[in-house]
Amino acid sequence: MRRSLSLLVPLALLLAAPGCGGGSHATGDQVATANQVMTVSPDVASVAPGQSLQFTASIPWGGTATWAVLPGTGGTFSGNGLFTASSVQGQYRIVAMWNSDVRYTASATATILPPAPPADSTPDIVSASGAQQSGASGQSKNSVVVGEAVPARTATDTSGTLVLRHGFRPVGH
Amino acid sequence: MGTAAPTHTINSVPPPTKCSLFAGETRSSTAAPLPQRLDTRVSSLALGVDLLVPISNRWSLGLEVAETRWSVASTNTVTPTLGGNMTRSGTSHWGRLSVGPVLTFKVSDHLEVEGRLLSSHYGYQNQPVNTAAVGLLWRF
Repeated sequence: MRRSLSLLVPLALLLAAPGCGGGSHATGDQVATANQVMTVSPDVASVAPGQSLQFTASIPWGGTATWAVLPGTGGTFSGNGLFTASSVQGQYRIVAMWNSDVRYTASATATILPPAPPADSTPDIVSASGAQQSGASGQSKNSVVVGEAVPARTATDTSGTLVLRHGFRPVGH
Repeated sequence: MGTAAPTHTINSVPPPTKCSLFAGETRSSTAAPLPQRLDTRVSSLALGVDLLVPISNRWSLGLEVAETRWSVASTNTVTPTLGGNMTRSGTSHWGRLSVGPVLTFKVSDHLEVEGRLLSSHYGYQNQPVNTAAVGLLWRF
C-alpha cells in the first residue's frame, strides 16, 4: 500500500473567513458598531459618588464577561458586573467583553453625578441646650448640637423638686 | 486477452491530518463612541477522507469530507473617546464539518499536485468560511 505525504500548509488560502479574510462580515467580527448580539443593560445610567450599580451583559450563548470602566478614574468593577462609582464626577464608558470570544463587545454610558450639597444648618436658631441628653443607660442619645450653647440654670419648685431649666431666667427669680 | 482497467473508479484516500495557519488580519475603526482595533488569526486542524474519481491517466476529481477544528485567536482593544483603553486576548475553538471538491494531477509515479476548495462554518454564529489550498502530494 502506498503512503502519501501532503504538503498543503504553505499554500493554503483562506478565501472568505469573516473577520479574518475577505467576504461578508458577521456581526461578531464588526468593530465599533453595535453588534446586536451582545448587549449591556442599563445602557445609560447615572450614579452618585460611591454608589454601586449592577450592570448585566446579555449574549445568546451564555457565559461571563470582563468589565471595565473607562477612563479608569470612574470607579471599579467586581467580577459580576457590579460597578462602584468613584468620587470623580463626569461621563464614563462601561465596556464588557465576552470571555468565551473576546471579539464580542458591548458598552454603556455611566455618569457620576456631583456630590450632594451638605444639609442646611440654622445658625440663627439657638438650641435649647448645649448639653448632651443622656438616656437611662447613660449612652449618648442625640448628641448633635446645632447653634449656640446657652448655660443651663436650675431652680427648685414649690414641692422642692429640682427642675432643670434651659437658658432662661424665669421671671421673678 | 487482457482486462482493461475501469476508467472510473472511486478511490477512497484518507488524507493526512492537515494543519493550516492563515494570515492574520487587523480591523480597526475610529468611530465614536468606541474606537476599536481587532486582531484575529485563524487556524484549522482537519482530519477527513477524499473520494476521488480518475478522469484521465493523470487527473482525478473528487470530494473531501473532513472534521475541522477551527481556532480563532483574537486581541480586542477598545479606546473610548472619553479616554482610557481596554485590551483582552483569547482563543476560541469550534469543531465543524468541512466539505469541498478536490482535483489532483499526477506529475510522476510519486508526485501529485492537488487543489482543494473547502466550505465550512465556525464561530458561535456559524459564520461561513471557504478555503482554497494547492498542495504537493508525495506517494511512497
